[in-house]
Amino acid sequence: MSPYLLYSIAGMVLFAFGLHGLMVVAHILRKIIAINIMAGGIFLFLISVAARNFDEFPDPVPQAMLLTGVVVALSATAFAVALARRIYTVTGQVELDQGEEKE
Amino acid sequence: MNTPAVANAGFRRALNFFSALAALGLSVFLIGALLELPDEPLGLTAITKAAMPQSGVEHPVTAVLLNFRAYDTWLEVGVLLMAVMGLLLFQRRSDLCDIKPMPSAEPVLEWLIKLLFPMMVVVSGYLLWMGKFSSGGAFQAGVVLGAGGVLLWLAGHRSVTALRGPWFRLLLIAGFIGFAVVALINVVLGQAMLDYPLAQSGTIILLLEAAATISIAVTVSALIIGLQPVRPKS
Repeated sequence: MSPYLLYSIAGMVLFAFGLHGLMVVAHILRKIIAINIMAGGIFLFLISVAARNFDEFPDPVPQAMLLTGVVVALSATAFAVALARRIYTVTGQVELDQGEEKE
Repeated sequence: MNTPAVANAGFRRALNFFSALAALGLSVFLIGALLELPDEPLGLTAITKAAMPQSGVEHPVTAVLLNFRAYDTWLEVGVLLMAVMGLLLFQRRSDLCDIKPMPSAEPVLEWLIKLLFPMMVVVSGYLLWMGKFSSGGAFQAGVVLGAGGVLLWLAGHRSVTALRGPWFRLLLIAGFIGFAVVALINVVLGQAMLDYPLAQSGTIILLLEAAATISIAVTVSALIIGLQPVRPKS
């Protein structure tokens, strides 16, 4: 098995389990972390694909997408945390409504 | 306490199980798709290699980022700008001046930061310069500088909260405006947007990257520092 395949598979598994976390956990912060785990999986996949298409240098296009993606993910996370904080200030809740009946 | 949570325990357990099953299925499906990929390289490496002489820089990633796919980078700088705008919008402020600084750091940390912060600025500048011929560029440089801003803040300095409204906004949009100016000049000259003349290409890329670095640094610091609560109006 080539190393790129190992990293790609790890990325896929990370993505799937991040998705699982996103669906299952109720706490907003944990949801944000789950989204970040999904993003980590995608980054791992992109960078391993870059290594796969090697021709003197690794494929620069996925690398460039990854490079900007990391910074965008960071700022999106910060924005999400700010929203979570706002939700907490306004409603006093740290968990999203799971669809159960409200009295 | 929370009665629906107890009542829904069975439902939650079923959801957990179904979700885990779905995640497992998705993993198997994605890995299967991965193994199906043809053996020959499919990426854009060859195309990039052929176009490198027209890029004005020596490093393929920088060439892709700031020349071949500059639109992408332009709009990603825009996404960063939108994140910070969103933060300021729902906190109803236009700068971070009203955030109370942290208590001053103890002398050892203060000394460490006096040592570290200038180093971070130098590293950031070097990363920016290095983008031309090696791994480096606006995003890496911007994040290092932004981390420096957060470090200053944590030690009780004002960092980006010292920037008054107009200055703050100017630094935030510098990167986006840089791209916009280049695009506008090209449109006036009747060329494709973000199409640089080969001779000036390296210089234009460096200038765009410098503007983007400053914007990214201020954005990253502002997003993290902006999470602090607003100081109550006296």
